[in-house]
Amino acid sequence: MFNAFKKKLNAVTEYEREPVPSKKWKGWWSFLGLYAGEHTAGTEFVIGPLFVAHGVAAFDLVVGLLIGNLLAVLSWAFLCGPIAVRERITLYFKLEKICGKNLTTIYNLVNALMFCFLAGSMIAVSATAVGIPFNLPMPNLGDWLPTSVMWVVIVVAIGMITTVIAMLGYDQVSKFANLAAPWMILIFIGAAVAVLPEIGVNNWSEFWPVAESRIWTGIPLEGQSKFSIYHVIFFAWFCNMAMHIGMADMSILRYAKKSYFGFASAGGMFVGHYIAWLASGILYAVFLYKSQNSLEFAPGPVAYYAAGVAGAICVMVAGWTTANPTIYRAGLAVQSILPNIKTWKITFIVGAITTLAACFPALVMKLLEFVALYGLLLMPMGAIIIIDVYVYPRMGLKSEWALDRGLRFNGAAGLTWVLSLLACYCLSFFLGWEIFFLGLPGWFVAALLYILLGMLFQQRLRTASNI
Amino acid sequence: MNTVFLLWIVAFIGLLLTIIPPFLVFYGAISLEDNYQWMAIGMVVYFGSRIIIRRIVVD
Repeated sequence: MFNAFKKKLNAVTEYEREPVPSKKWKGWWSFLGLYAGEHTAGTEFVIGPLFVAHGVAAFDLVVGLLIGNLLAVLSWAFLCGPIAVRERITLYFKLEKICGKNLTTIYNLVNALMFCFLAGSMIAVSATAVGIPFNLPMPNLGDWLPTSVMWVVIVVAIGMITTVIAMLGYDQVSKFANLAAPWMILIFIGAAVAVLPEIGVNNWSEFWPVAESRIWTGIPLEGQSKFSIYHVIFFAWFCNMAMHIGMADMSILRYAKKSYFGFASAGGMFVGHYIAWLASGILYAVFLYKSQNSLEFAPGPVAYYAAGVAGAICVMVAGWTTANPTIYRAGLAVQSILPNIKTWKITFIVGAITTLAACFPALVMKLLEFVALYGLLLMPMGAIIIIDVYVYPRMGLKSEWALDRGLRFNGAAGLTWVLSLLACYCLSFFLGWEIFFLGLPGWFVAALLYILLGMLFQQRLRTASNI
Repeated sequence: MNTVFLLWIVAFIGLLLTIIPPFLVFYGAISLEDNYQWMAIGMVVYFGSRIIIRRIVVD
């Protein structure tokens, strides 16, 4: 039986170092389901409540999410999708051609680690639901370390299951997400509607006044910073910055039949990052109202109160549908460093690291900051790819410089990455800009730097060759 | 083919059982506890039928 399972795992091929053949291209629905499933996920049970905790006002949230999510969809559609379909290779293989093997290795390690942490936070969210029948003491907003042995046991069990599913490859992940997505979003909506009377909404005309006075009040909880509409816009746009502007979703969208399939991300943005964030915010506001501003922060019991067993299972499933593709992506990142090791073995190791990270509730409590940091760290490479594909040829510069010259480390790309992040750090340190706002100036700095450094490095090498 | 079509209808009913009861709670027609049961039934019906559909289609 084990041999049959191993044979099946060995047969999993994900075209890590070759373009995806046309017979493997997928239709619009496959991506709509994948994005809707991936972005109607465990994080939504955390982000919606954190907006409430940070005192976002109702108008700021509703309008801010509309603008931010639209910008995110446009980023997928016009930046990531066209390059993914044009190249049909993974982000990592593309980076290897531009940046060289050694720089890509560093990038992949950072990337994989970020993916592990993100997937870990989702496993932690699932654990808050699985722990309900075991009377698991739930973590508080200020908890960073594991709160009990039972917490660790539950997290490890969920991590193992999630890893095994991810080991079976993209097809399994896609099928699972497609199957669960419509049900999950209905649970989000249903749970929120069912508890509205508990905070005084008994007909729809009462919703907006109550939303302003009891849900998104504009007043942050004790110890939390105040969020404005700009926080909401930039967070909604950049929370998946690594995926769209950072080009990580090249690995997914390279399976798309058409470049405009990037618009399928709207399924994830306007269902998951709009409706689900509003819904989970309502659920958390009801919890705060009934518990008199308890510091406990556990999506599982909150969903269970609103929708019973279905709500708790939804939290678990939502965690899995995010953790699965994230572990898969992390596996791909490491795979490109170790191409001779089977995908499933890599995914197993990545899953183990993810599970370890999931033991720490800090990943959940600081999710907004972590997500922003994760996008910011990986963003410069997206700028480098855009410039390399679209701008370099027009300027007479050589694209895929590392491949062309047989370099293992493209100095221009490496310096661009470091200096643009340094510029972001300076904006934060000297001007006090919050992490949520650094992505936009950071992208332009990275783009400009890669053009200037590319001119400098390529000119220098040409001069040296002529001599 | 007919079986699959019927199963899709059953799956759709599962989704309806997930979303209608919360609105009934909102309008005061059923209690939150009844809502739990209906949503759980909806979940079982939905996933049960979708899994069978997948098996039939794949086989």
